[in-house]
Amino acid sequence: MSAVGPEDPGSRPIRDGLDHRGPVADGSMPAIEIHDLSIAFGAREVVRLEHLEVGEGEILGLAGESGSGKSMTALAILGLAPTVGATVRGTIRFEGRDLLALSPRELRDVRGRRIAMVFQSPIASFNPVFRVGDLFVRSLLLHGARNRGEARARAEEALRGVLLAPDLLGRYPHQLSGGQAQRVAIALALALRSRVLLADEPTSALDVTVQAEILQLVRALRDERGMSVLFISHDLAVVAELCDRIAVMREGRIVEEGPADDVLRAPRHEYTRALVAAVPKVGRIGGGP
Amino acid sequence: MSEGTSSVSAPTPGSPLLEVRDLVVRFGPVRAVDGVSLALPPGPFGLGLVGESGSGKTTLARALMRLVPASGGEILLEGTPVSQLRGRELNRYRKAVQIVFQDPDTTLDPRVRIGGAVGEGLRVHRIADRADAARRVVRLLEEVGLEAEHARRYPHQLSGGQRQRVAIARALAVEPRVLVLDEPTSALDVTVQARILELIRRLRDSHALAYLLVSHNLAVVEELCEETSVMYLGRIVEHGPTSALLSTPAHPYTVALRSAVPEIDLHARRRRIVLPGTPPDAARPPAGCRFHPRCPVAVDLCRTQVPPLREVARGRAVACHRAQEVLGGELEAELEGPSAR
Repeated sequence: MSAVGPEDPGSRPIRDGLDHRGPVADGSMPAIEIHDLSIAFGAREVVRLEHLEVGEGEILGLAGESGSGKSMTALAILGLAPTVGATVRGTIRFEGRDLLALSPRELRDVRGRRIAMVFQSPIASFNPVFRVGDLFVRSLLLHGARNRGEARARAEEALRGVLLAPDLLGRYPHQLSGGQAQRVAIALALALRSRVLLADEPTSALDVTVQAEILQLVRALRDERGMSVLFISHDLAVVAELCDRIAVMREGRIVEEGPADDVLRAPRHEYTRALVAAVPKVGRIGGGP
Repeated sequence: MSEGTSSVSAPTPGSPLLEVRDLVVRFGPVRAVDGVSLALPPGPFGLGLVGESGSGKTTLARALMRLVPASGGEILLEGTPVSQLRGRELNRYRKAVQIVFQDPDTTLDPRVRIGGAVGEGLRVHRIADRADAARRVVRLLEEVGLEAEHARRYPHQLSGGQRQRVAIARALAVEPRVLVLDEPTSALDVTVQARILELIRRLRDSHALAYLLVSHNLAVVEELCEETSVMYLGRIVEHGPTSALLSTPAHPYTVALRSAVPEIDLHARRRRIVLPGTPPDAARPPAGCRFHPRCPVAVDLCRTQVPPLREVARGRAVACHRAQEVLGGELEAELEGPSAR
C-alpha cells in the first residue's frame, strides 16, 4: 500500500452524490453513506474519503489499482480494518446507525448478514472443513433461522436463486470451481436477505466466460431483489459492464466520481484516462501485430 | 479418439521452429490434451492459445517444457523429436524453450536475490562466467524495464508486475528460441498488464522472439499474436489468423469467448453470450462434439458425430458441423439466444 502524498493538484474530488441512476427514485436514503473517512497505519494515512455513498438499489463501482485503498475501504465498512492494525476515523452510516460506533456484538449482526461480502478468492475465504451446507446452516442459525430444517430449506432456495443445484450443499469448498464458489458466496447473501453486497474483486481470479456469468448474476440481484452493491475492481471494463456509478480511487482518495457512462465516455481525471487506456479491447487494432 | 484432429498445419511458409503433432497428455483416465497439433514459425511470431480453465492449455504448455510427459504424439524443435532427448541434449532443448508462468510468486525463490534468479540459467547452461554473468544480468534487467539495483533485492521487495518482469528477464537470459508465456498477466492489475504486454511486444521485435501466449482472454492475444488456436476440453476447436478469428469467429465457442470480453467502449458493448454450465468433466467427455451440451446451436448430428478440424478458409480450420452457417452469419440470433442479457 503506497503512502499518501500531498494532494495532487489535478485531483479534485467530484462529489455529485445525488447523481445516480439506479432504479430507485432520487431522494431516498443511501444504503451506505461515508463521511470524512480516514484509515491510517500509525502516522501513515492510506485512505481519506470526504464523501462516498452507495445509493439504495444502486451498483457503485470502486475502481483503482492495487494499493489505492479500495479494499481497505471495504474492510472499514465491515468493521474489519482494525483487525489488520489500522486506525479508522469518520462515519459510515448504514440503516440509521454509524457502523464505526457499534459495539462488537452489534457489528457482528451487521457484518455478514445485513452487509454480505464476496472476496477475490472465495474458496480460501470459506472454512475448508465445513461442507457448503454446514456453512449455510451455521450462518442462518446465527442470523435468525428457527431450526436446521428451515435453514436447510432457505439454503436450497438460495442456491437455486444463483442457478446452482442444491446437491452442492454436500460439497466441501475445495470441490467447487471458482465460479461456483462465487455463486455460493452470493447465495449466502441471498439466504441471509442481506441489504448490501460488498464485492471485492469477485471476478479477478476467474476466466472471462465465468466472469460474464457472475456479472450477470450480480446485476440480477440488484434488478430483482433491490440489493445495493459496492463493486470493487481494478478492471474498469468490468466496472463499466456492471455499474450505475463509478468512483475512481487513487492513493486513498476519490479522484473522479459520476454516472458510469459519463466517467467512461469523458473521463475528466488523467488517472481515469490511464485506467481506460489500459483495458485490452477486442478489435482495437483489428489485426495482428 | 483423435479422429479428425490430425495435422491441420498452420499455413505458414517455411518449416516451423516448434511443432506439435497429435499430442496427447493423460492423467489417469483424463486426456487433458487430446490430439493437439500446433506449428510455431521462427520469430518474430506470436501464436495465441486461448481457452477456459480446464481446457488443457496449461498442460499443453507444461508438456512443451517436458514438465509433464506426453502419452502420444510428438513435439519437434526444428524437425527433431524432443521426446527421446536425454541428458545434455535435453538441457539444450530446455535452454531453447523457456517458460514464464502466471504467478511469479510461486516461481521465484524467496531466498534468492533477483540477480541470482536471473543469472542462474547463465551459470547452469555455462553461458557466462561470474563477472560476465553479473554484467548480463544488469543488461537484462534494464531490458525488461527494471534497474541494476534491483539485482540486489529479494522477490518480496518487488511488486507483482516487477516480479513478472524478473521472470521474463530470467527466461530471456539463456537466449531462448521459443518463449512459452502461460497467462503471464492474469494475476496482474489491468494497468500493469498493459505495461507487461507492451514489454512483450518490444522484446518480440528486438529478440525476434517466437512465442506461444496462453490466455483465457481473447483481447490479450489479439495485440500480440498473428495466429490463435482456441482450445476446448483438450482439443483445438478453431485455428486461424487472430484478426480473422476475432472479426468472424467460426466456432460457437469462439463466438462466446469473444463476447465474454468486458468492453469499456459503450458503442462496442454487445450482448453477452453466457454459456450454460461449466466445461464438462474431462474424465467423461460428452459424445460427439465436446462442446454440444453448452452450445446454443447444437443439432442432433453434434450429439453423436465428432466434428473434424477442417479448413474453412485459407489458413482457417474449425471443428464444428455448423461452421459454415456460423461464418455466414446465419446463426447470429440463435447464438445470442435467450441467455443473453
